[in-house]
Amino acid sequence: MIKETLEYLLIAFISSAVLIVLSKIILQRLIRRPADYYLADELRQEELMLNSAGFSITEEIETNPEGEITEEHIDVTPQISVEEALDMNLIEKERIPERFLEQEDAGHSSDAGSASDKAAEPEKKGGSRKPSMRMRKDELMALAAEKGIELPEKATKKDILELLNADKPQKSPSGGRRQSQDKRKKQNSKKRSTKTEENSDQE
Amino acid sequence: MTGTTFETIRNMLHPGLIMIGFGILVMLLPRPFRKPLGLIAPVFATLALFQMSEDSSLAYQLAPYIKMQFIRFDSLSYAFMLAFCVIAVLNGIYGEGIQHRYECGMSLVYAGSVMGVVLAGDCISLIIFWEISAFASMYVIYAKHDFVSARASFRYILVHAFGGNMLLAGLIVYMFHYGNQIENIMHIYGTPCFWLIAIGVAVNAAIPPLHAWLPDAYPESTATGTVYLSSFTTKAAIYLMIRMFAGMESLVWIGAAVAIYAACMAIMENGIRRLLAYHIISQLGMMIAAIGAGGEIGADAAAAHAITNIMFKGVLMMGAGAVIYATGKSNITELGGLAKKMPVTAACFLISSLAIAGLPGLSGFVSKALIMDALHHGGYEVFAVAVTAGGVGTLLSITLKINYYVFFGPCDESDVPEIERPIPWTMKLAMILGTLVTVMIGICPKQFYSLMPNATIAHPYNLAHVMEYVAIFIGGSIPFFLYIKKMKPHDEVTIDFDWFYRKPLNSLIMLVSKIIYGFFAWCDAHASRLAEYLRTHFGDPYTWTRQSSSVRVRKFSFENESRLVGDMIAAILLAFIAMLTLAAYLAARHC
Repeated sequence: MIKETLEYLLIAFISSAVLIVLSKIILQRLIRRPADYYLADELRQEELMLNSAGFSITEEIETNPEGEITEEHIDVTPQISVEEALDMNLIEKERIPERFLEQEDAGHSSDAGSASDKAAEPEKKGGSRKPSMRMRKDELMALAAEKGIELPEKATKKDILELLNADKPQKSPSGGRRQSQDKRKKQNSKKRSTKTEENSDQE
Repeated sequence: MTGTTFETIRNMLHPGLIMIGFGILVMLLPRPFRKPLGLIAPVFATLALFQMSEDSSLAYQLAPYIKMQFIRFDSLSYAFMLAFCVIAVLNGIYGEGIQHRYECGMSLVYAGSVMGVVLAGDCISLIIFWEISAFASMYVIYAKHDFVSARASFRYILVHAFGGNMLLAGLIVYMFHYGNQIENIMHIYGTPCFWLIAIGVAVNAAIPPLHAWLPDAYPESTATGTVYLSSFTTKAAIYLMIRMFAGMESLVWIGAAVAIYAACMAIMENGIRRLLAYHIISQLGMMIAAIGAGGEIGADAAAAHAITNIMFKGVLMMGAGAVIYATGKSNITELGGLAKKMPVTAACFLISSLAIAGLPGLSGFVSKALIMDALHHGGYEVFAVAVTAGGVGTLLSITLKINYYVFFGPCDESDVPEIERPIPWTMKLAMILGTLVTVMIGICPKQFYSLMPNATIAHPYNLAHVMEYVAIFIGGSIPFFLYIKKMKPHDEVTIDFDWFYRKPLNSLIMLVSKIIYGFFAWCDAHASRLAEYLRTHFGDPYTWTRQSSSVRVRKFSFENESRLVGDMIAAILLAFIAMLTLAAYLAARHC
């Protein structure tokens, strides 16, 4: 019996050591990937699909993919302007509600009024990219460094993104419609959250 | 007459259909009625199970020669049904008040459909319940309603649709040749029909390389959903393997390899539930090896380990769910020192993790003893050592790694995560009850073995066997503490066989869809150009003649003073019609 016990002791020791070496040293080098290895691609594809359907994915999903998805997360803002739609003969001008045309005109006048802003726009586009999960970690770190954000040593992409988004300035007043939409969304989400809280209380 | 009617009704009570019925009610009824149904349903199903006998029957004549038997009750189905009913009751307690309406309803439908698989007496009812379980479990995975769970449930249903279709195709061919009964199919080993059924079952039994759906999908469900999922699908597949593949020798080495492979993957994992998901696969490997060993003891060993696994893995998943529910964190790197803040969860988790590693006195020891007996009995000594190595992997990754890094290991006060919301008492009660069942099985192995299909008599508590497991515990633990720094988990993911369909296959599909889209876009653009070309050239015949090198052609006029183009076209058309009429007349004459 002692011999058998010793045999099993040896078998267990060897197999334990082999498993540790196999998984923690050999396989670790071969099959370990960053935490967002699949997620980054999936988010990119989701964005692509939503874009081709005329929607866009909101930053909230990008930064917090494990959060609950509601209608608020899908931005239903048209991806082309009314003017572009008219140029492409996608819609007749008579059929567009007046309020859209007024907004468009207002947008034009403000744009025309601020030529310097317009000139600065491409520069802005090319200069600083919008931080997202699709960017590489070093790109995000560079962005954070640009903005002077201090990062913790073991910060993941998600952490950096959160810090960048926390640091993000308010949107310009030119996007009045978008702002009002955001306000509405926030109000809706507030309403929903209070509703869910009430429901959970009832539960 | 009344007695006979009562007897008929009693025989027709089907625990699975009761669960499905209650599940539908939960989804339809208003809140005050539906809330207690999540617990009442499994209790009723258990009562229905206890009144069942071998005479129980629920049949439906589908066609003159095809009869569906929804109930086939024997000792094997009873053993599995008992375990399913107990875990369903525990899940009902665990999920009380924390499940959403549809999640609760679909969980009951899912559990009921798996019970339907176990009780199915013919291939048609089997495949019906099999498919229902696939779709119901897909919703249970999706129940968290987030981006990750939505993606995971979609991949899950794709893999299970593949497996289900393989099984369906195999069963149709089998039924055509051999009849509608579910029986051992080793007599058709090597035929396409055999392999189709084998692939279909292997998907649900999570045999590599068809296993990746399990660690991909199970951890993404809700706390309760994961407990349901870990208890049913794979165990139903093991049940079917005992029925259909017992004695298939290659399963011994497949099982041993699966046990080691999954243990290796589990050691690398960082997510608690993903780690436990790999351990489901590892334990399934042990069951598969026992099925391959064959004989009465092999079938009993597989069934016994499946049942004990349902219990202790259920408690482990409940513990992991409780940690995630309380702290909102699921990665080991984000957790630590929780034993003080969650003592009940930590104690239940520790006992169940010792059970899964096979500590004497707990259920895992009792069922693993039968597996080792089955392998030694069949002369598979090398594979018995491999299965032992798989067991050591379990010890390393669950008993030592999770307990050390999540509950009991040294941890700074500042690193201990905050309890965002305390777990309800129902969760604690379910974990305690589950742990008690695990301990009871460990204490009373004789009564437990008597529930097995062949009621194998074994004596696990002999000194030599107990010493074996004590030696395994000591020998397996030493390297863990020697390599304690290496054992620390990292915030990374490990890629598995799902990489093939999540990366290259995905890229291929995207490429093909881009090519198809590009082709149709090209056709679209060129079709409109072609139409424009035809319109201009046929509308104005001079476009043909104008570019000619011949002066005569260029000067040709389609209209002069007395003849219009329209008259010309009419003349040509009339001539053409006349020719056709003449040809038709000549053809008719020849006939």
